Amino acid sequence: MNWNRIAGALAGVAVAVAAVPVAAQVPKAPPAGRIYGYIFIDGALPESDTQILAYGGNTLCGQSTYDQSPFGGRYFVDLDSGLPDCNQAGAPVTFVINGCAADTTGTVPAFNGAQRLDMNAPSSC
Amino acid sequence: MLNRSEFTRGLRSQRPFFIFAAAAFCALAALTGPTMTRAQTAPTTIQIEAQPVYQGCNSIVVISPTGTVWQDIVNRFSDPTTVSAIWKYNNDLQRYQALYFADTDALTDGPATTTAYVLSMFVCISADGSVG
Repeated sequence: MNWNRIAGALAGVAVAVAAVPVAAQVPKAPPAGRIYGYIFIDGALPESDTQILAYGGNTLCGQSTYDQSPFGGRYFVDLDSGLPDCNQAGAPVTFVINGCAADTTGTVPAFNGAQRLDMNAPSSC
Repeated sequence: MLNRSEFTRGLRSQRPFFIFAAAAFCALAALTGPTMTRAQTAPTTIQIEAQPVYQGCNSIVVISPTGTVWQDIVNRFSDPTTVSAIWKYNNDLQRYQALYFADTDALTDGPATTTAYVLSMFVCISADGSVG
């Protein structure tokens, strides 16, 4: 076995690893805002795993899966700030809960803040 | 299996390599060692570089004791009432978490207080001002 070659290769790899800069994660801008509150289906709190979709026009701005436990029965959806239909403060945001349109429309919060929106949706549509 | 004399002779023959390997190791240690092993001194106060901030979201680096509540960081802004939200990217989750909202009823999904001495975050404000 040629130890010189093996060791030379190892040293070369080590130097190369040290010289290569680690690519930094560059996250996109923070969400355009968060809409939160209570959701109801036919007037009752939904089961966990209920799907919530938020739209600006026809653009999907954000989604979440409702979970009863962590936030006292409330939901939240963050709106994608990279999409023009989702990042204009005051623009309408509609919701679809488990495939059915909710009865209330929200708006994109100002300055990436939060807006409360309680809403109800039918169980079938 | 090598006997002892063969092993010793082998080591001698590899001497130039060992010198080179040691040099490479030292170079690596010099490059990476200080950042990997330097002891961090725990900050005792909130430190934010004095700077102007602008309407919208501003990337800010905060040095603070762990357990600092977000409101204390908000209070370092020239007008804390203009701070609408603080967001931080969670690299493990690959998404943003909300740390603070001016709306105190709003749901936040990040930690309630700082969990590291040095944090980078986006502070979103409704009017130009300063921090420091």
